[in-house]
Amino acid sequence: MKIVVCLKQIPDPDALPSDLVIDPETGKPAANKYPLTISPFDENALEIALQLKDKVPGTQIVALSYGPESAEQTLRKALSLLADEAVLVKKETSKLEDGYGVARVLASAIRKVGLPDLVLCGRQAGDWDAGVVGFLLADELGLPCVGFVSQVVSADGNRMVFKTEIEGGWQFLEAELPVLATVTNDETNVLRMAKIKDIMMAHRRKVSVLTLSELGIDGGDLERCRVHGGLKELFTPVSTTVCEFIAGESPAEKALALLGKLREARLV
Amino acid sequence: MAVLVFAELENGKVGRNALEVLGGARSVADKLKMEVLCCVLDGDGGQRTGELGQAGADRVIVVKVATANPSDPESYLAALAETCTGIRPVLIMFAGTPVGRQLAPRVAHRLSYGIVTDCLSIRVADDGREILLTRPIYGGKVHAVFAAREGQVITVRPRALRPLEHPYRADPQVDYVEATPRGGQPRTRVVEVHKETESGVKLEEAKVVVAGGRGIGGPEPFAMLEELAGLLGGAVGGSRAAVDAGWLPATRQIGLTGKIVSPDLYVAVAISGSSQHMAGVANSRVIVGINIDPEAPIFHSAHLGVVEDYREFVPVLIEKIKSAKAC
Repeated sequence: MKIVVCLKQIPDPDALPSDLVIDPETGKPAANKYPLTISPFDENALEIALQLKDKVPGTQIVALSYGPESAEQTLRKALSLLADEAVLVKKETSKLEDGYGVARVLASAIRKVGLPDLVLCGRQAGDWDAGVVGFLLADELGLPCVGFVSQVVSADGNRMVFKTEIEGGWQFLEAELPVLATVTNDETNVLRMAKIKDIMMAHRRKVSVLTLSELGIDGGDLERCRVHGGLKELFTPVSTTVCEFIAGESPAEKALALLGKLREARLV
Repeated sequence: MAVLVFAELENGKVGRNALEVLGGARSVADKLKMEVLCCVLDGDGGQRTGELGQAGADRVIVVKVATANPSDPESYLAALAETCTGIRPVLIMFAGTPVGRQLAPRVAHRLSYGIVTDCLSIRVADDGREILLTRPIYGGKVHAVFAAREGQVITVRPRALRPLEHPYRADPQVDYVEATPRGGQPRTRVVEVHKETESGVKLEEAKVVVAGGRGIGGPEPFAMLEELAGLLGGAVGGSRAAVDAGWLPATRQIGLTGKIVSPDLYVAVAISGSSQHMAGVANSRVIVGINIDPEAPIFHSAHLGVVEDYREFVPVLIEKIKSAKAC
C-alpha cells in the first residue's frame, strides 16, 4: 500500500498571543521570533500512516509538504519516524495563497509521485484553521473523501474502514481505495517519538525538491487567489475581561467566597 | 438572487445549528432584499418544512438522493452541488459541523465560489454592496475580515449567530428535486453509527460546564469533576491536552476544534487557557478559572479566578456546596 501524507509547517500554535504580530500584507507573523512546527492535525495524520505501516507489510509512506525551505525540517521529522520518502514543493512567494492554490500544487505533486491508495491530510492547519485544503485536494484528484477520521479500523485489499467524528458521536465508514482522508485527533493518534538513532539517520536521507515549474504551475496564477483575495483587515481582538481573584487564607475560605459570588450572580 | 442554507437535522429535529444559520441568513437576506432558500435531504428534513419556514426560510428545497446517508457527505455532495449550480445563490451557508465543514469547500470548488470557514459574524456593509465575514485565525489570537466575493460559500461557528426570535412563516414554498443517479456504485458506505449516549446533561446544551486540562494529571481526578458538575447540574468536558492524554473521549473536547459551549457558568480546572481552548467557551456568561499558577493565561479570560491546587480546592468546594444544599 502506498500512502501520501501532507504536512504543513506552521508557527507554533502555543506561541503567546503577545508574541504574535501579523503582517497585513502577507497575513503571516511579522517577526520570526517563535518556533516553527508541524501542524498538529498533520501530526495525527502522520501517526495514522505510521500505524498502517506497522500493520500492513510493504506499506510505503511519502511525506509531502508545500512550503518554504524551512519546511524541510518538517519532512526530516517524518523521515526520522521512518517515512520512506520526503518531497518538498518549494514555495516561491511569501504572499498569501488560498486553499485552492495549495490544493492545486499538492494535487500536481501527488500525480507526479504517483497516485497512492490513501492520501492523508490534517482536518485543518493550526495557523489559519480554514480546513479546506484536504477537501479541495480530494476534488482536484477526483477521489472520494472521508472527513474527520480518528482511526483506521481495518485495511484489506481495496477497502478501508475508518472511524470518523460526526455531530454527537462517531461512525464507522467504509471507503473504496484510492481515497483521501482528513484526520482529527483522538487518544490513539498522538504522534510517536522518534528514536535518537533514526533522528541522526534522517539528516543523511534525501528530501526531493520540486519546483512549481516542474509541476507545470505558474506561481503568479496561485496569487490570484479566490479566497484571501477578499481579505480586508486583520485585527487582534482585545479582551476586556478583568479577572477578579478570589481572596482567602485557605482553600475553604476561597471556596466559600467563590460560592458567594456565584450565588450573587444566580449561578448556583 | 438568494441566500441558500443547507440544513442538517439533529436526531430528526431542526436543531440549534440549523436555527442559528437560518436566523443569520434571514438577517443578511433582508438587508440585501433577497430570499432565503433552505436545502434539506429528503428523509432528513423533508417532513420539517414548516419549522424551517418558521426559522427563516422562504422556500425549502427537498433533495431526494436514493443512496444518501446524512452523516456521509460523499453520498449526496454531487446532488447538492448540482442543486446549487442550478440556483447560483449569492451566499451558501453551512453550520460548522463535521458534515458542514466537509461539504462547504467541495460545493465551493464545484461552483467556483469563494470559501470562508468558521465565520463568527456576517454583516452587510453599510453601502449594501459587500458582505463582510469575520473569522478567527492563529487560534483566535487574530481575527480576519473578508469581503465575500460574488458567489461565496461559508461555514458558521456554532453559537456565533442567533436564531430568529419570532417565527418567520409557517408555510414556505416547498420544491422537490430528484437527483439523477450517476453510473457506478457509491465509493463510501456507512457501516455503523454511534450516537453518544450521554447520561445526564448534553455538553453543548449544559447551563454549567466543568472542564479539566493538562494540569489534572490523570484520568482518575475526572471523577471529582463529575461530582462537581453533578452538584451544579452540569456536564464535564476537557481541553485537547486531556483528550490526547486519553483521560477523556474525543467527543468531550472543548475548543476551537472541539465542542463549542456557551453555558452560564464555565469552570476551567487546571486548564492553562490557550486561545484555541478559549475559542470554544467565549460565549460563556461567567468563566471561573482554577489554577495553581497565578500567571496562567486562563486568568486573562476568566471573570473569577482561584489560585489554588485543584486537588485541595475542588474537594473543599464540593463539600461546601453539599453542606449549603443540606441547609
